[in-house]
Amino acid sequence: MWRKTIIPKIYFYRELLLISLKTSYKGSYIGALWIILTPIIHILTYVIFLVGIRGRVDNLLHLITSVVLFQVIAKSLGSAKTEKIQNFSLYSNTEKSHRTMLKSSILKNLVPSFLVLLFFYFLINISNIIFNFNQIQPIDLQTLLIITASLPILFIYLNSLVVLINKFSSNFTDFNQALNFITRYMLFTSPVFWSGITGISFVDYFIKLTNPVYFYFQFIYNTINKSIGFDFFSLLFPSILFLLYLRYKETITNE
Amino acid sequence: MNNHILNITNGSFVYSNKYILTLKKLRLEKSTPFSISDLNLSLDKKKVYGLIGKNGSGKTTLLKILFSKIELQGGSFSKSFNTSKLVSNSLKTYNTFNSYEIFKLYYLLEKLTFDSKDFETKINSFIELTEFSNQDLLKPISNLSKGMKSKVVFSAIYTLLDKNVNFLGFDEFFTFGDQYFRKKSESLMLNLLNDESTVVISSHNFNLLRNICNEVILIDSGNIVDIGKPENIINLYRKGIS
Repeated sequence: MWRKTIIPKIYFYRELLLISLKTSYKGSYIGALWIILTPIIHILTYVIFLVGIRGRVDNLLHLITSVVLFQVIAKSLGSAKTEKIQNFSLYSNTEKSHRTMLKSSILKNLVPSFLVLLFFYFLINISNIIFNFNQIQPIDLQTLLIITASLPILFIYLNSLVVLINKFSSNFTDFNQALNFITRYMLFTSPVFWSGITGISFVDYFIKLTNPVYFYFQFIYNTINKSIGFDFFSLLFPSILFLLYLRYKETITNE
Repeated sequence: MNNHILNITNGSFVYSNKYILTLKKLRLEKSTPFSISDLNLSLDKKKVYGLIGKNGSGKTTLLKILFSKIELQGGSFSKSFNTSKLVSNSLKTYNTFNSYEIFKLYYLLEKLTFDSKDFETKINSFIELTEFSNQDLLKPISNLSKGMKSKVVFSAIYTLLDKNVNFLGFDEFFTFGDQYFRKKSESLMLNLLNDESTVVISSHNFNLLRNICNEVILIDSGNIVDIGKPENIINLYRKGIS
């Protein structure tokens, strides 16, 4: 049973991912190196910015995680508005093919970014051991496992968001403009707020309402924190989005 | 109904966002939206239909209604086919991709699964059909000429088409490449049509319609003007133009 259904599906997503990645970096001299270079440049920018303002970086781990994750989310949301399947008359099930294309646009950001995240965690742990650099909190195996296990949640969340944006963005220009604003706001605030502590409950609440990175990262953070346990609240918004996705997914069109 | 593959009575459809624009004092103004009203049409099984009309007369809209790409807002619609396919000649392609990658992406999105053996046979027949060398196959699609691009699209559509489809539609489809390839594509598609399927072809190629259609439908401003033998309807259409 699983040989006939699951393995072809895994091969399918592997091939889709490879072809999307290969074509994304075509024509560039350093190619896929951009995947790791972009977050490094981003992290360095924020480190310089934070050191300049505060004289320190409170939590490099939060900074790295949020920079990498916000890139996944910002890129996926960016492609949500533009990603359309072409020659749609070719496909027997246009809606399903279109949704698959949107899924591949998320996967091509999510999978490399997760590898980049692992690379950074590994780097931090190694540098802690070699240089005894105790300033940064190391990542233990349990945290890593929770982050990995929660990736499907991030994927489902992003997929719902991207499909809904794709459905509504062509009809409402205002919605598009608002989305642009939110993406930029999110892009700027996530790493800064998580690397330090805002301490202002209103600001925290506002981030909670608008920032998708929050739901993912706070879910992991709260779940790891034994005093809170499994954080259902952080999953509330993604769950609502997922229900909306189930309601509207059959109606997305390519025209 | 037994002999009909599809039946529409009193069907109507209005585009909410496609208006007919009129020029008034050097300003474009929206007038009535494009609509199809009082549509009565029955298509028989195992017949080939042609669809002619001026540009903007509603040929593509009618095809979309027949193939359930858009839903009628009024009237009744009944169908008795299991599989249908509407193919159109849209030449939009992914410019950074090469032909091999384009075919692979089309294959993945059509099948929604991946079987390496099946893919191998399909890509071989794709290469055979395009008559591309390995060098052409790996060229970015943006570097290919328009004719060659259309060859890629046609070959991909033909290779991936389900050959046992009951109800098939072509929307201004046979306009690919040079004269030689156009003839080749026409004969390939016509050989493919089995006696069991019903076909609707929207085209301006009257020779093709005369040769293969049992009946031709003339459409104007969203209304069906007449249905009948190809020669009579084509003459009627020509008179209307002149």
